Amino acid sequence: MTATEIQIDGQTFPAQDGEYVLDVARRNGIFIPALCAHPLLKPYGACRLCLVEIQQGKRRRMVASCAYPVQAGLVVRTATDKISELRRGIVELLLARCPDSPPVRELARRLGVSESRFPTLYRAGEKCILCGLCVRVCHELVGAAAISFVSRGKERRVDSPFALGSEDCLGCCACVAVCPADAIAVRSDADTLNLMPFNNSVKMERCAKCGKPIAPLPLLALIRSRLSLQEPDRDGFHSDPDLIKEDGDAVERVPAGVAGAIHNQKIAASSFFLAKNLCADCRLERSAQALAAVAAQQRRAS
Amino acid sequence: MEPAPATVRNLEALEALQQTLLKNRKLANATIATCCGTGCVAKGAIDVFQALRQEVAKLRSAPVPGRRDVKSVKTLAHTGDSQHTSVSAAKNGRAPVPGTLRVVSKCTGCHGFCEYGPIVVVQPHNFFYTNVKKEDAPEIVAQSALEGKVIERLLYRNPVTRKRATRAEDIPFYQKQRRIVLSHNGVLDATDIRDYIAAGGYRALGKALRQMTPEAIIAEIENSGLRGRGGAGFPTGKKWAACRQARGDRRYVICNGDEGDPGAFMDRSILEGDPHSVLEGMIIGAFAIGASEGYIYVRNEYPLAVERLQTAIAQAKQYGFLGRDIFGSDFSFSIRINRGGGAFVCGESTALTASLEGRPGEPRMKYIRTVESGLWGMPTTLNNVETWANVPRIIHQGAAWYAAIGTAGSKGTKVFSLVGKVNNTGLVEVPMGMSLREIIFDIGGGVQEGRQFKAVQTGGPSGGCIPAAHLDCPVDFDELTKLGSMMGSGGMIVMDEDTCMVEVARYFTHFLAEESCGKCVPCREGLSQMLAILNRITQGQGQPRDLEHLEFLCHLIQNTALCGLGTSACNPVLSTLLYFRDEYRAHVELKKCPAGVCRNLFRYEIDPQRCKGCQRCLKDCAVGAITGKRKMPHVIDQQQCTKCGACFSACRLDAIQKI
Amino acid sequence: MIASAQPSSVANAIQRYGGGVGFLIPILQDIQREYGYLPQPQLKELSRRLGVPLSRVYNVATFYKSFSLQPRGRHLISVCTGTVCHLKGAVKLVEAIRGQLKLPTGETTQDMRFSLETVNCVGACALAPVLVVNGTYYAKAKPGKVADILKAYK
Repeated sequence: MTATEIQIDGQTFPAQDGEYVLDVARRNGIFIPALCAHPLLKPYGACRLCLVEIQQGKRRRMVASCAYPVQAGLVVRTATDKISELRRGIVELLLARCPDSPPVRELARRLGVSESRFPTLYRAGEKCILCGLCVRVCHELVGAAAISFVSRGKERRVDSPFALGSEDCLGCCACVAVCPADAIAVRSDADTLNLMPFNNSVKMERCAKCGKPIAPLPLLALIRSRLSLQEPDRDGFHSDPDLIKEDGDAVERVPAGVAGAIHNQKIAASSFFLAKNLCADCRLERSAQALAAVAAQQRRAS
Repeated sequence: MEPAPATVRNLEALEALQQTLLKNRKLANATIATCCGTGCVAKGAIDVFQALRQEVAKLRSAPVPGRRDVKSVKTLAHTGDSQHTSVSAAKNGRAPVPGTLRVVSKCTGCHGFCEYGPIVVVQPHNFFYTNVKKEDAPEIVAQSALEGKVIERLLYRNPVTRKRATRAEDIPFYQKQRRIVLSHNGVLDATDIRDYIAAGGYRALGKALRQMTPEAIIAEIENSGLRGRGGAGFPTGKKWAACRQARGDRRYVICNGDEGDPGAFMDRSILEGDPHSVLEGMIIGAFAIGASEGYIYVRNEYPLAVERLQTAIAQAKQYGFLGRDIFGSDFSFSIRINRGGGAFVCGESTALTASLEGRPGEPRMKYIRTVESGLWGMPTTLNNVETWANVPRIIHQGAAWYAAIGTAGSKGTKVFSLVGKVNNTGLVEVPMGMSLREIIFDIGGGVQEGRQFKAVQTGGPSGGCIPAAHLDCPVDFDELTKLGSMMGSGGMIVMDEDTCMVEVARYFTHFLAEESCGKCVPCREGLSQMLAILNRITQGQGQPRDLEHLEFLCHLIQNTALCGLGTSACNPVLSTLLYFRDEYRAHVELKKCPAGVCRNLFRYEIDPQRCKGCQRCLKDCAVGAITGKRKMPHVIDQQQCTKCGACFSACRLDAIQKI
Repeated sequence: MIASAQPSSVANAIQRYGGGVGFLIPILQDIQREYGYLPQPQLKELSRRLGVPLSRVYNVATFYKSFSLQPRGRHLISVCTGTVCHLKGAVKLVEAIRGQLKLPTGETTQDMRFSLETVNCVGACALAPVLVVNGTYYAKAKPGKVADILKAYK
């Protein structure tokens, strides 16, 4: 990575090759509205709110800052009258699409728009702004590719294949977490977790002790397979504690002291926290018991 | 006999092959060429071709009528769709080559004169027959092919002078054209590479591979001034140079044959009528930029083009023009065909590459250009069909020759599909810089049924409508852009006084809204809002601020949309607002459609002074809205009338009026 | 309709193009040609065999206009709605066909005899308005001719 400098709104900022204009602006606290940009995902450029004006030599043009790579000597303007006017226009279109969406209303307010001059052309209560973050998270980061865009133009929407729920959904809820428009709902009951409006339905692992739902089964299965772990035995213990010793942090957050204790083989990992299918309450109980056992062991040893 | 296919290793071998093939072709006493382009096929050209073929075949088994000198017949060659038959004739026969009479029946690509199809051309006399029916086949073979006699009734008749034209050159439609890219269409058998080689085909490739460096080829293309024929008009040589310099493990060349503009069929005709020109251009381009793989992306609606290309690729491989060590050089190159799925946006280069990678055709931002990162992230050169077809001609005849044609900023010729309310619908190729008036009135023969010209729409759905006041504008990339339209890929749609320009704008906006991929907000939401407004206006529910809102949306979409589809999508609305604002105002303020197209904004009425009560309209009305006794003026019940216009076209006394 | 899926047809289609994901669209075209539409089981099989997520196959199948996810009628009527056909009365032609087939909305008749679609441009502008039935072109197709044309297709 080579360092360079770019100018944004008259100020000069250091930047790295490979960064985009929006990255530099955000790092330096310059407000550029953007709905479809995420630091962990590839640039997409669909919402068009992050448009800025760039100047190279005498040539000026509008670009999407989320996807425009920094170059030495680049001069960027983020808030000219024209840019503000265009952003307000775009947000009016979004407001017409989702008139009742609090996040969209809030953004509109921030850009100085209270109402859209255009009518809504969609069903009432439309929340999705089609920024694609959920789809991209699911494809690029999670790798499940359970949802995708469907159709095109005005009919475009995000859905599972055939709108029947995806067999590839892990139930990780990354889509829910990344959605800026609160358009994806999680509903869960005793056995399943449902992601709406995709109709994705995922079975939950239940606590081996009390039966409470803990985590989505496919997600646990994926973690296990990535760590080459066996399925837990009937008591909820993994048969191969050595693997955990190597990489204890990957399974779950382990207090440093406990990890150290395991590493020094002061306590048997298997008896301590490898019971994967316990709910939080039952885990607390089991850990307390394990600690007490260790303490008793040490007392006996001394 | 025609020589069997063999790998051509050098220019000398190609030269020798060409001479042999030419000699064979000169032996033919008569060649009957049937146009098998889509327009002619739809009008029955296949039937005509087959009938002609049967007639030629009959020469073998039966004495030729009126030719007692002909003794026996043998088949010369039988390739693809064409059939060569030779007839042994008595030595005292009238045949130019004593002893044999050879008749060749072949099927060729589009002549461009679709209005008058099916078209059959008989050589060597160059008889140009129009509107041919299969029943005409025996006469064409017996009279024209064997006797050299012209059949008057099949000749084109000039509607103004009433004079018949014997040859294509005598027809005004062809007189002002300059056919370079279309020069093989209607002449060569598109399914026979030997026809192409005999006409000098693949000589440019030999020259490029054996006598030129890649840099020299790129320089030649740059000096020719060739600009991309697909729409944007980017200088082709510059594109190639950038692609050659870009870093990448592999490089690709792509031929964009996703001709999505409604009303445009230039590329289709070239692919169907002269596929080898496109292949040859691509191979030269691939050598110049250093690509080893090429793709031709063809619309799924063009099955015949796919078939012709498959045949052409297979034949080019047989002669060693594709594959390993082409022309005895160490350059290897292969071409595959990929069919599109039906999406106008795939004409956009990044959407097309997405489609070639098996993804939806959604454009991405081009801050990193396709020449640097295109197909599979590799340097890629993408040109459209017509651009590729120009390449062999430029290499063969030189940059200076090409640059001498056209205007300062736009070199060469351009093929247009001249369609709509024009007399001579078809494909025309003219030097850049010819005026719209010359194209529409001199070549196109003016507006149909003597109506008034209103506008010409150029550049496909993203182009603009140009009014009569600008008819003298020279047609090139820059001049059309100045008028708020664009060259696009070459669609030219003529509109007459009966066309409602607001409805036309609505039609294009509807088209683009449906074809928008929906990725970016302004294009997806903005075009839908524009369409909603235009729907309202054409239905008579226009509101006072509608035009202002349309203008705002145009400004917004033009400046913010992600790809070229979006940024140019407002041209139809902007250009009609600029040149035909009164029509918009009539719709919005007076609730009237001056052209009588928008159904809620006009009505049909019968003028009792003119109506003679012939009952013609009454019989044609599907909903029974017209009443009246025979020989008494009729009346239209406005409640029942669906404004279908059947009565209007039925009336011979102009008694029915649009009000 | 072919009810029982021949499992090899998808594999054949993949093989025809050398198996690459770049040929997803032509492969889908071939599957559609065989079944008349894109049936769910075949799309799932395609996803599995190509190693492409089903969501992406579905995305592509719904993005491009030439694909149908619903079974279609025995005869496919395509009305060209390109600019020239539009100017020369394609709208009235579509209305006439809808009336004739009693298809106020939707695209396939109850008896599965006809499916109706509109296409952007078939590139035969000299013949406008154009009607295509199962690949056969009907030139200058006026609303009055519709009944006669469709009679031939049982």
